[in-house]
Amino acid sequence: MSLLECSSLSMHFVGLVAVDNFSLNLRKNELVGLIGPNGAGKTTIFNMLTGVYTPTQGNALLDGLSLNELMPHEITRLGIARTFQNIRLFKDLSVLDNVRIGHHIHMNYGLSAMTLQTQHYQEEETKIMSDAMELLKIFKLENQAHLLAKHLPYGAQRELEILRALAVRPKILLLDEPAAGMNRAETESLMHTIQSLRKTFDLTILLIEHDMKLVMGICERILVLDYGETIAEGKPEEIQKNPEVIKAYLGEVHV
Amino acid sequence: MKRNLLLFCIIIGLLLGGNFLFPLGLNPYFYLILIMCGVNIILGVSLNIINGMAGQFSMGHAGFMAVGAYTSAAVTYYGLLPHASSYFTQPIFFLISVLAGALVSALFGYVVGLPSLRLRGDYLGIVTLGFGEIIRVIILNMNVLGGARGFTGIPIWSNFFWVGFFVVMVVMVSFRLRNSYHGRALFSIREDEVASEAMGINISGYKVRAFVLSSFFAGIAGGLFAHIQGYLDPGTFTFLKSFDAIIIVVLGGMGSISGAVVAATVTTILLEALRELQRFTGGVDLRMIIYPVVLLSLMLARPQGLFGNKELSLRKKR
Repeated sequence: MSLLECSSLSMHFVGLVAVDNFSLNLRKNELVGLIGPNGAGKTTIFNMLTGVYTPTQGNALLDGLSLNELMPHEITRLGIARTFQNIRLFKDLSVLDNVRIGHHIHMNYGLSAMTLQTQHYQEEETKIMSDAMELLKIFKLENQAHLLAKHLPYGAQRELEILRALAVRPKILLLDEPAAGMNRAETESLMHTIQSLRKTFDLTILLIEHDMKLVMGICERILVLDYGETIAEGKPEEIQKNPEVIKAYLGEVHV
Repeated sequence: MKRNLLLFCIIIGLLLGGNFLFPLGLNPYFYLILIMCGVNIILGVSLNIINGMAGQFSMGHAGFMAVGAYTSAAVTYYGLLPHASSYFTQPIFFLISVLAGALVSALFGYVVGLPSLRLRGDYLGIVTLGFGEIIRVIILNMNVLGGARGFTGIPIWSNFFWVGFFVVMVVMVSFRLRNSYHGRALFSIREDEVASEAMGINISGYKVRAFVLSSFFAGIAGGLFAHIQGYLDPGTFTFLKSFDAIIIVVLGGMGSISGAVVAATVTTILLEALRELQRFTGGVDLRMIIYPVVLLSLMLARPQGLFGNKELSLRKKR
């Protein structure tokens, strides 16, 4: 039984076909990679899955529920969280607040409880405070909790974005180039963290990445996109040998 | 809960004491400035919810204040004054009147909040500016509310106690909003709407809520203002009044509640203190030259406002 089922998703921007006939069955606890040259439509797929764009064709089903008509925040409530390619942290808020905002959908005291700071309010706030600190420990950010997010170094900002998405407690985590701009050692450690996160949080992960070492190292299945079309799908070893993929990345040999 | 009740009693006690002492010790002019400080604090802190926390640029705050002021004045004048008011019923009457103004203002806030879902930045600013002017022109043409002559005959019910009471309430609710997930949702909208939505925050809902809460508070400021001198003039609520509120928010630091409180106090006192200067300049009014210069130099020296994004806090930062 697949958790997320996309059938022939297409996104057309007037004349431009950004994504054409994209199909994907994401099973529970799978770690799937989405690769392709720049402009292949990978991020567009993320935007369709999270409700930023409504697909012009096709359908995405999460647990059998259609995502097409839903607003981004409603889709998040159903259990899809994401990170962004160009970091979109809440820059002028503290690291702690960034993670606490991620917990938003798990809070439910009203305005009157807030005004009177009732028992209920106290309990929920204490709980997300400790939850958030617990999450920050994953990337050893607990000592920087009160720093503004914009003052974190680049790598830590990427990590914080992952933590913020984890705070949503999603079923499916969409990672958009998590290793962009990281050096080899950082990428390596990120690789291990992603794998351990999948176990601890029981996650299903769909990941866009250009770093082949990371993709080939951790993904169980890879989809290759080129000009909006899926040109290959399979295990990492198969993808590496696939002539279509090599053509898309390196071009054809003209004699 | 117990802590809330204790705090409430202490505040009421202090305010009642102040209400008894201040008129005795202070000359009426200073007393008036004190009260105006309170009204401006409420105005600044309320606008801070829309402009500072949620980051929606609203320029029609005078409109909300006007709605609150005139509604409250009308309720008092037409609804409550005909009934004999005794020493005991008067505070209740006043509370009803101010809250009525605030509620009607909140209703307007809801209506104005709706376009904020489609408009951003300057465009929202223009729409809200237009709203403020429309309100003023409508009042100008309503004979029941005195029209251009102004609304006269409102009883002078505002005093230190009531203004202080509402200042404490508004500031407290603002602080508690800031420390709740509702407040954090507002801040996240200011920072990045796309990311905010991806965190499961219903940004349309929160923008409208911000407008409703903010205009409710602005309505309180209006209601108090209406009962200070017993006279309301539509000319008070021009867009310049909206800008006064924006100045308070920007000067205090976007999103900072303590910043808005301090900035409101400083601007109110500064504008009055500069009147004294006329004695030395031989009647030439330099207020509107010095005041902008002070504002300009403050903004050059501290572009993030007096407090930036920070708050004064009694508790030590962990």
